Amino acid sequence: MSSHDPEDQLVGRLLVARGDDERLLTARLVTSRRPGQWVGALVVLVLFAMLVHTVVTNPRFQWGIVGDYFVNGSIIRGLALTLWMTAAVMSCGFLLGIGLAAMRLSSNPVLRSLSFGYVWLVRSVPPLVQLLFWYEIASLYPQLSLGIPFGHEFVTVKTAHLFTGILAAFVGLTVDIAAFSAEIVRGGILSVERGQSEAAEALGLGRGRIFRRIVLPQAMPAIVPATGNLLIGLLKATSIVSVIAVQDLLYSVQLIYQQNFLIMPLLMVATLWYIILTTLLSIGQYFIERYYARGKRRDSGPGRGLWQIALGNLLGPFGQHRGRTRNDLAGLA
Amino acid sequence: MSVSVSAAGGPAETALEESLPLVRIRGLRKNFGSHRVLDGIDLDVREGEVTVLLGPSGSGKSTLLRCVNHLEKPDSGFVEVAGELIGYRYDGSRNHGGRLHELPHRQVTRQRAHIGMVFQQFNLFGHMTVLENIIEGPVAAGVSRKQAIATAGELLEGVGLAGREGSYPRQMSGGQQQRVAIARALAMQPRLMLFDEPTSALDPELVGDVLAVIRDLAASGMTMIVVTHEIGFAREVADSVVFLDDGRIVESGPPASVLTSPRHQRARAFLAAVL
Repeated sequence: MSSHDPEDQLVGRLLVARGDDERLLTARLVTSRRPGQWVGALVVLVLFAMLVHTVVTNPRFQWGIVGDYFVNGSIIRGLALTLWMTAAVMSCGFLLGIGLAAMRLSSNPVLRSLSFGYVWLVRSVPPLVQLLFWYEIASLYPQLSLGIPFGHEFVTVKTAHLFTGILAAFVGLTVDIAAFSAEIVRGGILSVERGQSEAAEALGLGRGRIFRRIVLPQAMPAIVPATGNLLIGLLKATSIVSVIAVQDLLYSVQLIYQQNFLIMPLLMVATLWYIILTTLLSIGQYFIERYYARGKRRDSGPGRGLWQIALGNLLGPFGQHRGRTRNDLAGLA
Repeated sequence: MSVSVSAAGGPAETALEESLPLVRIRGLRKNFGSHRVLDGIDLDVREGEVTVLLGPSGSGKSTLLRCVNHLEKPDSGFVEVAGELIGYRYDGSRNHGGRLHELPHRQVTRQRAHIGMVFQQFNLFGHMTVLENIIEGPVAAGVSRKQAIATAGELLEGVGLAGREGSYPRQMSGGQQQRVAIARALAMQPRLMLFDEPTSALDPELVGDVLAVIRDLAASGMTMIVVTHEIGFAREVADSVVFLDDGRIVESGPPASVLTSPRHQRARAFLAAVL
């Protein structure tokens, strides 16, 4: 059936009508119920409740003692050492890693091979072994000196005095982090399209400026997630310095339970502290990722907050997104 | 909307340069692996002229353009812009007679500052605002930030994007991004502008705005080499049309003759298919 309005006739002619059309157009949309998801969610909730129940009511956890030792002086000192060691190692290691990545991508074959060789060697040896190696380096080189190669020495120092536990730990971990950072940064840099550096070259920008201001900032959205991962791994990996008697969080806990034999509660103390710290780092990572994704967002608004994203992930189609159109969702982080 | 260019050079310089084309390309050859892309190109571009490079894909148009600002290094032959050899230094002395020494990157950079380039994919710096994109080149070359910002404002007005300084490239349409890219290149006050298929990546309805900007720029006296498929634009704006095939110039001349009655068989076939 076609209408008699002359304008409509041009369009109406192409459509074929059926009896149901009016009823279909005025019917209400009902989304699918997905009973399977409800059952699954219920099962998981029950299991979780059971887990919480056993952890809270099992007397062998000795939660009272965990509470007692949670802010114990030597444990807090150990925590402080873990924190500043993580920060120091990450800063130095990452900077060194950027340098190694630049070397690997340079046109100079010597620099490229050095960088490649370094990364290959460091990634091949377990961090604990490297750490012990640095701790014992005095046995290979009892004396370190600064001077002319194969010639006169200006300054000498006894290696054993210099390479205390803390320095060995710092050097060992930094060397390791630098190797992994180098690969992460290199990958990020390679992800930046060539046109960017070409346009920069065409404007007459020098290589250093192109790397610092054009390429590296645009490599960051690719670099940050992997680096966040590395940092969280480092925070936990610092616990290996306990092997060379550096008093980090784990070693402080071990010292206490070696005396009072309350192994489980004290390990819980360390565990809880590690969980708190890594969670804080993850939150920090989220904000840094958002900062570097500035140019990539379609809208210029602040986007969804952390809390809204967490809720969104939990509730999914039952929560935040109900009633939204696809265009709304496309603009969200 | 209009874009204009200021005249360059003092009286004595101008007298010498009037006789010399702004761009001289001689014997340019370039291989990519075993594939010969440029097979002996000789080309002159006079100051103030617009030269359009046409040809099928793979004919070497883009490679030729990129050799002019040394983004591609020719295997033999040379490019001269405003009397200066690009990318190389000639040594005619007795000891190392007849050698072209590669210039260090820093000097090539300085040469590139006088040649502006606009890319098919715009290549705007996505992590910077429009303003930061435009002032990056001049500030790196030593212009004061304040001066650069003022010039940027004028350039944006000239391309019809006044007030968009704070936007990010991602928030703009392709046509707007390309116009920002043109403003960015013009911020360096180049003597020569190179356009590598500036409208090929744009939606058809956005092409007109960008072509209008390029047309205005040509009208104000900028020397330009444009690689494009827009035959209508070539007919209107070009002073000279050069047709490439398989790395060689097979036909060149004013648009009236090349586009209406091409003599070379390959040019005729191409234009018949396109027009």
